Amino acid sequence: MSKKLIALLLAAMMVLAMLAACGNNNNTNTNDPGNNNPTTGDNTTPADPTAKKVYYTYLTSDHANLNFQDNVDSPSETPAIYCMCFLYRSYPDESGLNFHYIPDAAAELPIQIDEHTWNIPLRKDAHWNNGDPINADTWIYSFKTALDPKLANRMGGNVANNAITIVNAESYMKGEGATWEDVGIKKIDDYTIQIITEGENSQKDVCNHFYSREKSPIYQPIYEQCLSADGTTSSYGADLDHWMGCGPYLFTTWDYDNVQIYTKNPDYWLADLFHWDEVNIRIVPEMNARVELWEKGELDDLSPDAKTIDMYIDDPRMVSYGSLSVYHIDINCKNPNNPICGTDAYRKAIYHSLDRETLAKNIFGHTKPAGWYVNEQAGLLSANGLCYRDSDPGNEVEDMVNSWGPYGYNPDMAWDYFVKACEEVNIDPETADITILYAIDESDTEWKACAEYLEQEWKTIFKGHMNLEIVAYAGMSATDFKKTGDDKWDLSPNDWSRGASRTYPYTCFYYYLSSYSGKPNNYTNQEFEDQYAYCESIKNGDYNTLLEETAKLEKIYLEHVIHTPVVQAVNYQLFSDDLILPVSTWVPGFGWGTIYGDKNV
Amino acid sequence: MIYDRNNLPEELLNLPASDFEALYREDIKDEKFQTKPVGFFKDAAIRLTKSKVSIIAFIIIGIIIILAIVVPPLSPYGFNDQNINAKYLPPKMPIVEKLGIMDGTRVLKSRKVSALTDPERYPEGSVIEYFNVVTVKGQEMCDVRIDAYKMAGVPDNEYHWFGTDYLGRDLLTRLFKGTRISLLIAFFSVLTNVFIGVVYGAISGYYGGKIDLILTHFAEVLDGMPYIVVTILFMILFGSGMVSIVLALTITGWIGTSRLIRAQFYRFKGREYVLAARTLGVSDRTLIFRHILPNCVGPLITRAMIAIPGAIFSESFLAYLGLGIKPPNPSIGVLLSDGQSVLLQYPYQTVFPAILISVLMIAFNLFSNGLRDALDPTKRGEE
Amino acid sequence: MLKYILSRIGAMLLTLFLIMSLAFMVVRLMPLSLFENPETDPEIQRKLEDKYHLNDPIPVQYFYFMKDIITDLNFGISVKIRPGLDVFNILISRLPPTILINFISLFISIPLGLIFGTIAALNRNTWIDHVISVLVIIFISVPSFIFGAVLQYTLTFAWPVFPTLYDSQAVTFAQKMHSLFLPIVALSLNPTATIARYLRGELIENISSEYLLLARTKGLTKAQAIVRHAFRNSLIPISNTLISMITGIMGGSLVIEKMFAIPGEGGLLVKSIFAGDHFLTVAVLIFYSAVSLVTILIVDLSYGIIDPRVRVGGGKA
Repeated sequence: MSKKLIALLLAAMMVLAMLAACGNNNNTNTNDPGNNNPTTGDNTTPADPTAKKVYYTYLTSDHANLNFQDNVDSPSETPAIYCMCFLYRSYPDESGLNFHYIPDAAAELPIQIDEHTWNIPLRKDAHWNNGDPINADTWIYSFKTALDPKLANRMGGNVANNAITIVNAESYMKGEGATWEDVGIKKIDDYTIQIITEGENSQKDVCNHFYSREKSPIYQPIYEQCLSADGTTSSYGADLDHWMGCGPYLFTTWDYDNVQIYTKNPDYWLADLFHWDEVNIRIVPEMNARVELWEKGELDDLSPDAKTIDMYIDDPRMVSYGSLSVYHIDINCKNPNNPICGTDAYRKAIYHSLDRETLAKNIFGHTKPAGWYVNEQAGLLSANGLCYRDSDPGNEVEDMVNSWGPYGYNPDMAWDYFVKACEEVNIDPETADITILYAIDESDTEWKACAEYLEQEWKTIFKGHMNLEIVAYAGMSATDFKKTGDDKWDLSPNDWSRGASRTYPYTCFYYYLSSYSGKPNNYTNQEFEDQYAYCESIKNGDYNTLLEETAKLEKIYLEHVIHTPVVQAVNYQLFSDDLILPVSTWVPGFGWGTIYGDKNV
Repeated sequence: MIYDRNNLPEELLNLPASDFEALYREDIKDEKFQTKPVGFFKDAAIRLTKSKVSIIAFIIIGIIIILAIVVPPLSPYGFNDQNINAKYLPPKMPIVEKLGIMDGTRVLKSRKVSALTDPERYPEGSVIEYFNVVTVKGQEMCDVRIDAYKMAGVPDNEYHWFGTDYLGRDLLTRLFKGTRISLLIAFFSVLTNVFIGVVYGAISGYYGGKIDLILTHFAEVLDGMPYIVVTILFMILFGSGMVSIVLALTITGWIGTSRLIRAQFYRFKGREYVLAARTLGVSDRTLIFRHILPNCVGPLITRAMIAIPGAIFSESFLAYLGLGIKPPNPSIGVLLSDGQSVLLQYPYQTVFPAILISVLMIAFNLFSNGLRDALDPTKRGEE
Repeated sequence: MLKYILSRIGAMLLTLFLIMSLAFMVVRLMPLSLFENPETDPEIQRKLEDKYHLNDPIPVQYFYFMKDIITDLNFGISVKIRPGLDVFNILISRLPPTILINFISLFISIPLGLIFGTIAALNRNTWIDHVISVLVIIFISVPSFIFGAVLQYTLTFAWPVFPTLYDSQAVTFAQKMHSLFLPIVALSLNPTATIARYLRGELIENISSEYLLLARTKGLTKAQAIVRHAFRNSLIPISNTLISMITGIMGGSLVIEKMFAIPGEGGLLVKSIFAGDHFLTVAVLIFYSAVSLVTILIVDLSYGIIDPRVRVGGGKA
């Protein structure tokens, strides 16, 4: 008997040993900074550990990989700005009210050769974390890979066309005839590259174009090692071992879905501009946990959501700033089970049935009601800085909307349009019993609350003849869900926004053009498309004319209710008292510049 | 030795009763068979009622079921009646409010002192007191106790015993509506499980041989998959909703029942009475359902009772993972997971559903324990 | 004995094989292509699908799927969660916290459950027994995520004794335990109570049995008799409950991992299902199944050690 007991004990001990082994395993996930950068040792951190400046922040989800040319998810922005170099990077002005571009891996600001040609001289001491130089070949290789038609990198389009449009780049990428030699990216010598653009651009546009994650360089030896045999996919950046950094910070620890730690790279050529010794980013998907960490002082910043904003509404540390996003609801006009979905009147009925003031205040948490779609930031970065919403044409649209009712809300009109829609398809509105499927992402609590609210409201507005049924989907994105069939949804919330609208207000309608492949609804309108094309053609002309044409575009949009706007989002942000920000206010196109931040220790 | 009564001498036959003295002083009760014969279920019921814990558990379950039936229709608020301005109201209960708890007040932390007089934000009478005044960045800040009902503009005579949720819906009504739905899900899933399990186990146990081997192995494979994982997979396949939950809980839920029935069939199918019936030409179906199955009813009831709290748990578990029933319908799990998302600001949103599910689960467990003991044939006649 | 072990392992492998097939089928039933993406060129999408044999008939796909797993543990490549990374490696990288919380919960709940069960049985019908019984019924009935929520609110927020989140950077074991303490407590309450309840019942039955009386009459003290005979015999039915306990802990850890932001397998499973990363889902599913099958195997084999009847019977079979 005792023998068996011993056997049992031994078995237990083995399991414990296994546990211990696994525990150790965990530590090896941490990448030793020495591996990545033999030139720096552990002596990078100041001798006194209490003087170490650490920026504690969070992300709501982790990035999937570090292949910035292919990764479309916004969390990958963070490792890119901390750990990569760019040709140019934005830097706050002395005033703290604005920003400008400074050369990063470039030696100086772009030099204009002629109308379409820019030369970018490169810094001779730029290098990867392992010491390998970054020169013209690096950049040419990176851009070529980004545009490679075989790889079809999902961010490649942004390299070809964003703030500037590079000649033939899109044609090369899509395999429409142009060869790499035709593309407007050339090597002049080892430390100069030349960019040829389609339109005429300012120096700022060129700098702006090259400061985003997909334009960071890639490390050729590792990239080629990670390339599949047929050259169609690359596992570059899948983990820290298959990736190389070159930025102000070293990516020392990446424990997926838990923590990212960046430590300062003293060998970086602009190291003096950066003050954090370490940036510690926790991945915290639950709002509760974020609030808890913030309350305990373990975070330096926090963005409250609709459910938590009430806690901090008076907090002097809280700042709010404008948002690019107008939350809206996409409308399916091809649902075979919904007889009235094809009519304009049906969409108008939905448009007028939304009590946007209540939704903005009570459901989306201190946002602004919006019966229109062009966002409040649109036009902010245009030549004369006039926002479309503050301009006369913009106000005229607002007045039109408000003449229907507060922010377009008018239950009587909604009912009338419903009756009209029914009559158009020969249904008696008094006997009609139409079910509208409202498809929401189960985890999206604000839209879910909105759906539940509307479900109840509509019972009164449409007198029980048009009812909302909530369809919650889990496990896929809205885009994926909509693809499962036109009969699966009628309404679906959306918050897509387009950064380009800060410069050209009309571009916020971009996603609703038939030419956009990922179009979130299935309604097309020729008048709308033509007006958009017209705006596009005059975008570099007189700004006030552009605003007027944009107003026309927005009116066409409202007349046909291409989708229905709900609220203008507002961003809220709390910063800890210790944090010293480089700007005194939120700067559009730049943000708070926390990467240049500092801390009272 | 047996005497013939007729051959006994006269004096012996006519002995006066007074000559006899009872050996035991008590009355002899069993002169005749005075009590009725006690059947299996009667016996079980007697033993069940002897257990105080089971009775209390039974009463609690009964009360909760009655409340689940009665509260939603009797409540002044519908489970889906919204008052969006009165969202997240704290609990307020008549009488209890006098004690200083559940009185509809709440403390708001770090508010501007200057804003307290703003009637837009704090309507007349909504500020009860403010304290902890500090100056931060030149702003006077304080903690303020407010009457949330006055602040939301709710009439004084309106009471939400458990408060309201994110759309201003009455939590008490929703909680019992949710209990009703959770119980229905549990009930239907257990019913389907029992049905499938009985049929499957009966076939497997009655026919035996190859059929049994295949069926048993199939069940074993299904059972080898962690049930929660399978449930999640199937929930995603079916989409959210009450029917899908019941179906998902059925995928592997019936295996236990089928095993039990199979074992019982193995035990009884060789008994003489079964053989006799078979010899008389009774069909397989009659043998299974009329002759053997009734033997399994006791353990089956116990098993079903034990499965009910399991199903309630699974439902709330799925809701926690975002795979619950369709809004706007509540279930205990949906309420819990909604509450969890505002746990820090409004803990009461979690507390009431948590207490209810805990009490319900405890009561079901206690009751099914009692039932198991009562229906256990080996304990028959014990007290 | 060897034959018995081999037959059990054979049965386990067969079950695992069938589970893999089932997992494959279920995941293939899911709507939408694996590589569906509006921004990807259909041509490239087709190539990708070809690479993973997704355009072949289902039986051929099944063949490749099985072949890859059996020959070189290749579960495929993650496509959504960590594109380009080997699914098996992702699985391994998420293992430590899951193993820590699941196994520690299990390993502390067994001895604790045994201790409380014994105490309750030896003090039958005293206040000690009643207190333990009440706690047992509470811990068995109340779901682990309720305990999780209560512990989280009280001990990380109201009285912050423990950290809010799991700290993967903790170096020492003690630091790790500090950040994992609450999830482990939340997970181990139920199994502890389950064991205590079973042991109490079994012990009470065994203590009043005749063989224990015999043991006492041959001169053993009460303690000796209980430890050597009653306790040992009570362990046999308890090892049976281990199976359901382990699946229970693993299921509970799905929610607990989410609640305490622990980057483990549970979170990975939920995330992969939601993201539609099918290869990953299948791999985690197989992992979970394998763990529960191995548990069943261990329990079966330990039967052989604890209960000689099984060992001998196994020899005959």
